[in-house]
Amino acid sequence: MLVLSRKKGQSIVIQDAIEVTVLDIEGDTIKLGVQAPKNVPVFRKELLESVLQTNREAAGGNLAPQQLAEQLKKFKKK
Amino acid sequence: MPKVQTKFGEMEIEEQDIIRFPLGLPGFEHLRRFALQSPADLEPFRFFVPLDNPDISFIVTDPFLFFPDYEFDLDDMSKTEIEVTEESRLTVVVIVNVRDQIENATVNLAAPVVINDGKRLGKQVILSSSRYTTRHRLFNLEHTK
Repeated sequence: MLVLSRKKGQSIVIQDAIEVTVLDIEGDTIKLGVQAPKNVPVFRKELLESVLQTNREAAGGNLAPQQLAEQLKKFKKK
Repeated sequence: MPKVQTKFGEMEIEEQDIIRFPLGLPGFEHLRRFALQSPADLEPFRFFVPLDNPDISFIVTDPFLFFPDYEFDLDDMSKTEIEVTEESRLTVVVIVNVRDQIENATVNLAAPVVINDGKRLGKQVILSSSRYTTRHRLFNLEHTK
């Protein structure tokens, strides 16, 4: 992994197109500004991981449709 | 087709019902063709069936029904990918995580599934705003007790 030291206000540039700037540092929180073309999606990594995880869980749900329909009926009556 | 054996039993799926997901879904990038099935007794839930692997299946629902204030802007890249224009009609569903009890079900509002009805093209869009999470409870038990 490439390791670079940056101070507040300094940036790194990736492939001439993506610029990441350190906007602010407070305690252990760093505020980053990312300038990237519209076709480059930028996400917090934990969000991506959470989407992966919840998709896998949802696909592996072990409730049969009959059970689901039953539970739903019960639920609607409440 | 038209009959497909799925985890939820046999389903009839017509060619025109098939929705293509050019990128698959996160975690299931190899699944490219899906169908939405709406059995009457499961209302307001629907099956979201990957035709390339009918052994697994997703349950989805209409987010606006449970969260009337739900909203997001579709990013330009997603619009291009599923060929959205001014005239496009879109269907938005969110994936339900049921586990064992429907009471504990959560929905993923941070990554809605957006379908361009006319083009039969879809994408699970990840919203970069931190307003929504991947696990919103569907039912608030405090209100129903």
